[in-house]
Amino acid sequence: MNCQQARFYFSELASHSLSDTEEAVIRGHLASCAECRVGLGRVQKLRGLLALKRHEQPSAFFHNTFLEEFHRRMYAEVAHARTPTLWQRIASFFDWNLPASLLKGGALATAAALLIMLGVSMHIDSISSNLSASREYVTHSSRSSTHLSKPKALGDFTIATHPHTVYALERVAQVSSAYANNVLTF
Amino acid sequence: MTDSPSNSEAFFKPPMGGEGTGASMRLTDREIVRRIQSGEMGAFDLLIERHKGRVYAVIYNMVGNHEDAADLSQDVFMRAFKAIGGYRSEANFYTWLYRIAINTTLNFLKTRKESHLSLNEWDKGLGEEPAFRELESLESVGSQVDRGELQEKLNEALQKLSEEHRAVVVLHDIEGMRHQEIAKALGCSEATARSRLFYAHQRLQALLAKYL
Repeated sequence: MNCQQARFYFSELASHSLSDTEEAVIRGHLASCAECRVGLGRVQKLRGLLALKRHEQPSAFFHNTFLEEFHRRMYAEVAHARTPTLWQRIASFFDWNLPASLLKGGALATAAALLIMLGVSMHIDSISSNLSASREYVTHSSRSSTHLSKPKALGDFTIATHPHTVYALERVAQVSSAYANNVLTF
Repeated sequence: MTDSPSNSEAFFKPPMGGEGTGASMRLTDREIVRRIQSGEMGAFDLLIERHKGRVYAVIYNMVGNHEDAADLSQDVFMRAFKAIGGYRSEANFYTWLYRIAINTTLNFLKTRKESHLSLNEWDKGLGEEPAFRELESLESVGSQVDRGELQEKLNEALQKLSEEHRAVVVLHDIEGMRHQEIAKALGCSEATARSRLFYAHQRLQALLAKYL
């Protein structure tokens, strides 16, 4: 063993935490190396100095109130946990006591179904508006062949005219934003 | 185990289901943990009472600030309470707890913007320490050791170490842990812990030359 290797073990030698074999090897080196003996002495002094820090103690107030403070914080956390999040309120509405994976899948399926419903609704509206526009066109045409009104364009559709669609969109938005914010807890 | 209301409510029951304090105090950490894991959450109070001093000391020596140390100690026990359901007894309970304490402290230190020392008082036992008496014989210190200055220099020197080096010094030289336990608590190899301690000692010897 050389000096560099031996020095890594001085602290453990000083704290008597080496095995007998390891200690014998280090002591064997120390017996023949004056420089390492000085190094060991420095480490021992430093350890003694650092050990003084064990005498820095918090006040009795800390010891007396620690557990009480822990209980207080725990209570605050439980109270906070009991305040339901938006998702928890939604989930409690459908409180079927299902496994988390099924609930998650169900939420996604519901969102998908709502989107499909929205798409179908938009499609039906566009067809009906085209039909009414055509009827109007036909009526106008029958009344006057000179003033033809334009058929209603598909882009005229606005979701604001369909309360059920607004509700569905909001619902989907809530669910997706809840996912984005990691609010959902399954 | 999480902070589900049912578990947390059980926590507020008197510890150990009304058993005497003496009998409770004879239980090992593992026995207490087993009781907690079987639903007797009040037994966690015993672990707090048993380990709060050492957990606090580790954190205090890492951050050098009493208020932060007290606050972080609470966080450590809160995290331990939530995670104790997953604790397996292959490691000593206090090694597991120290790991939480060290990780909590290191995370705190990474986000701390500024630090200032807020130190505890020396206790009465300081004057009895052979290392303290030896200081009085040093020419560089003088026969009357300025305790305030000594405390400040010790803490400043520790704070000048990197967080990883400081953690090893605190656990080994102040808390008296072995490298094997330190390695588990810090999640590194024994060789790494030994090496960090060696380099930390070299730096501390330079910083505290006046007292050596």
